[in-house]
Amino acid sequence: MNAPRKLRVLHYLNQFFAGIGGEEHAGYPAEVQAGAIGPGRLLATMLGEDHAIVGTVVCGDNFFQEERERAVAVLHQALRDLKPDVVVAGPAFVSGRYGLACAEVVKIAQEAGVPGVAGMNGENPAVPMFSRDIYIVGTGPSPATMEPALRAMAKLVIKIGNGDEIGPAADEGYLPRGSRKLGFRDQPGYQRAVSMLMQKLRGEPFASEVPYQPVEKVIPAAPIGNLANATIALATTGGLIRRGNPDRQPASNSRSFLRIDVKDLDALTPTDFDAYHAGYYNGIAGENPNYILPLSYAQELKAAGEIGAVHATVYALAGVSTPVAECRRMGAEIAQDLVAAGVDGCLLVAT
Amino acid sequence: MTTGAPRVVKGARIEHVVGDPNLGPAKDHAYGLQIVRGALASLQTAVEGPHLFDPLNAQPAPTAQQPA
Amino acid sequence: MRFESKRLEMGTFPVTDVVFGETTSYADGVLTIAKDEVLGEVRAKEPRVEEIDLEIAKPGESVRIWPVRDVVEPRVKVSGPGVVYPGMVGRDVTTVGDGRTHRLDGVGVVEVSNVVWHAGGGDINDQFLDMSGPLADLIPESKLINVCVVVEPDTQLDVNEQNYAVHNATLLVADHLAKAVADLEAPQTEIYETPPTTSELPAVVYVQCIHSPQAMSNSPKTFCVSVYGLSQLTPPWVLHPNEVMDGAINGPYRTMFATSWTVANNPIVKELYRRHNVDLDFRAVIAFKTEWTTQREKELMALQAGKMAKMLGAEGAIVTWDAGGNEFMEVVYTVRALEREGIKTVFLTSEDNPAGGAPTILEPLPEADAIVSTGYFHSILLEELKEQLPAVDRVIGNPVKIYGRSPVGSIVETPDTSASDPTFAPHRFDDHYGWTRLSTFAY
Repeated sequence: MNAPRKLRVLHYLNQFFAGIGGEEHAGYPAEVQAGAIGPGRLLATMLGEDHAIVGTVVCGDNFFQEERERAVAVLHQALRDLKPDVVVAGPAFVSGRYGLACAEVVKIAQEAGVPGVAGMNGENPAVPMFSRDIYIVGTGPSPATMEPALRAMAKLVIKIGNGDEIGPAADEGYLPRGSRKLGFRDQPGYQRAVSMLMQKLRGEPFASEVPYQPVEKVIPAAPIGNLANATIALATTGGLIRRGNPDRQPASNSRSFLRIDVKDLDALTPTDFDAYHAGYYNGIAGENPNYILPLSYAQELKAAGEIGAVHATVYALAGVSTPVAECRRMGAEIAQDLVAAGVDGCLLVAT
Repeated sequence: MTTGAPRVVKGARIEHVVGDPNLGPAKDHAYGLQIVRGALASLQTAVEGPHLFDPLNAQPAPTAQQPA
Repeated sequence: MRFESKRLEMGTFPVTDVVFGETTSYADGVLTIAKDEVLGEVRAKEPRVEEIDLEIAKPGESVRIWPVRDVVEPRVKVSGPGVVYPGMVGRDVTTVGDGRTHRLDGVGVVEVSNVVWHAGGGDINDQFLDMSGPLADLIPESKLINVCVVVEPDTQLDVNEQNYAVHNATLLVADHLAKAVADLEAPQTEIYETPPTTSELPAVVYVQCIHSPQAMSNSPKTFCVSVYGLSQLTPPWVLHPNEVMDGAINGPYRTMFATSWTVANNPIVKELYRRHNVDLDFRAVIAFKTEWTTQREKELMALQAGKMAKMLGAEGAIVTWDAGGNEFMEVVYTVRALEREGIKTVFLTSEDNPAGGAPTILEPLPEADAIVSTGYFHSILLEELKEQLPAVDRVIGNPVKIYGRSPVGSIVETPDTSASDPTFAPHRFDDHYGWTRLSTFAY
């Protein structure tokens, strides 16, 4: 931790909080005003005598979006002229355009070597876009919560300006940035569980230690128009291996997948193939591997003309205790293969 | 369903996904074929987000689906 | 539904030292064990045992106990129906939880044996106990004086019989030790009682999700953690908390946080009891078996558990689990089912590797909105366990440490080493019941 020093703070405000006017002045051109203005004055008192707001960049919300180059130029000039140690933007509460501008200002300053903090409500649309890149202090939804918002922002601004180590999101008041770290809490888990339950039962606010993370949005591939002409590939995470496991595939924590040539095979036979997967009983699939990779059915449907062709390569790994990052990589590699081969569809069997 | 995968097709059981040895060879084969056909039908179906297809309660396979 | 009242007096005898001697006895905190007598007793009552010995390991010693299958606390029913650890390996199935039970506090009876869990492949036992060092600091059982039952059965027997034999031997040793305090006056006594109440306190159930080995082993008879001796997949059980205190859930799963000892001393059960009639009404324990292998079974069991909790009048619930992988599905569906019944639920769980910004729990459901995290379940991610543990002076059990060998397929992934050498901690560190303060924080 560096020795605390007198920090020079640059503030960013939109036209409304700078006192210029409302929506009708959203095109207000970016400019720098001396010292603190509007809520910046309250922020300055919270920062204390040791630190000073040396200037405020004021910019209309529309101007920032529509004349970004000019706005950014003003910001860069302010960084050069005023030499702030740290930048603070907002708070923007739930205002979308203002939130975006605040986040971008902090990000740009960061890229120019000046750390910063933005303040806005957790529901602000700028949050999912920027929370991984910059520190965003979570605020209430409306300017009625200006004071606690500024207080939280001031605290974090001083720490960041001093280069202090920044602790967990819940402690330091910023919105989670997407990473998690191990640590020890004050109480053992069993006590925290019962305490959290009592808070929930009493209707008191509580903080889940693992917040809900919504599912990744996957864009569905367009449907196959004519199945009778289609080439279908088969893949499995059921741990299909060549019998005897000459490829030395692990039963879990897979880092690589098998490509198996099935061009001349009508079905997977137990003499040549097996199942090796640490997460389910392998005996049944070992006796009939088509249960986890339905080659026999695919070939049958091809012979019957219901599909055009069975892709000559099948893909296999044991999908248990596999880190998600590895899954993403392997999935992308398999997809690359299939796209290069002109495959139309793929059946992935999971266990 | 919550992996985000758009097309999810119901199989039999983890230990034997495409078919069921307890049904005896003929019915096992028919069941497996039904599951694979159901899966292929899902590839012909336009979906907006995660959708669970049940081969045992399948709609007739679409004949001329327009790509989305 | 009127809830039946049960009353259990639990007499605790703290043990500060364990020695071998002439007669098995307890005095002034010292437990003396008549080694030949207890071994003779076990051999007589459990003829499936071929080799058996007892060794004592004390906290702080440079000792590694390997392979550890289970740790059992010596307890005995002094009065009231049934026996402790009922139903297990052929023991009496009478419902327990009433009368008086005595326990030796600070002693573990460790089941040390090379018997594999089952012949289905997978589920290798890689558990060991260090009595000192970085692993010992994190594992509750390393702080016990451990009486190690080093035991091998007749290897001609069916693998399930082998498992029953060595676990029975361990329970018999525990019985023998506990009998030393059966007729003594306990230095500490606690009363566990839940009379019918008309109080306004919120009713809470504890849903304990317990792994069944049935799916992985393809058999309902496989040895593992059990309820009244049954390890198979069953619909959920409604247990009075006192039944858990008398060991109705007994047997191990796959980490040192899932042993007979941790389950009988479950800190969540004890904490709920501590607050019973203070600010909550501890209504019941629902034991929920996991590793169903179809979607419909997973959903069905979860819905039934939710319904049971509702019928018990629960307003709040805590859910824990002791497994991994696809078993998470029925566990999180249970959380959802409880919430949909209007029962406010807290879920205590470990998390998966966050590398690459991956979600750390398998199925994010919005209903699971109150989660207590016990950290990542990969030992390699803990500062304390990512390096090898130091070598030890003495090994109790098997001098050879066997890695990654499946009894089916014999695919060796890592060569065997001497058990006294430096070694990595067991792969999985999973604090199922929230013993430690380890957790994760969002950054």
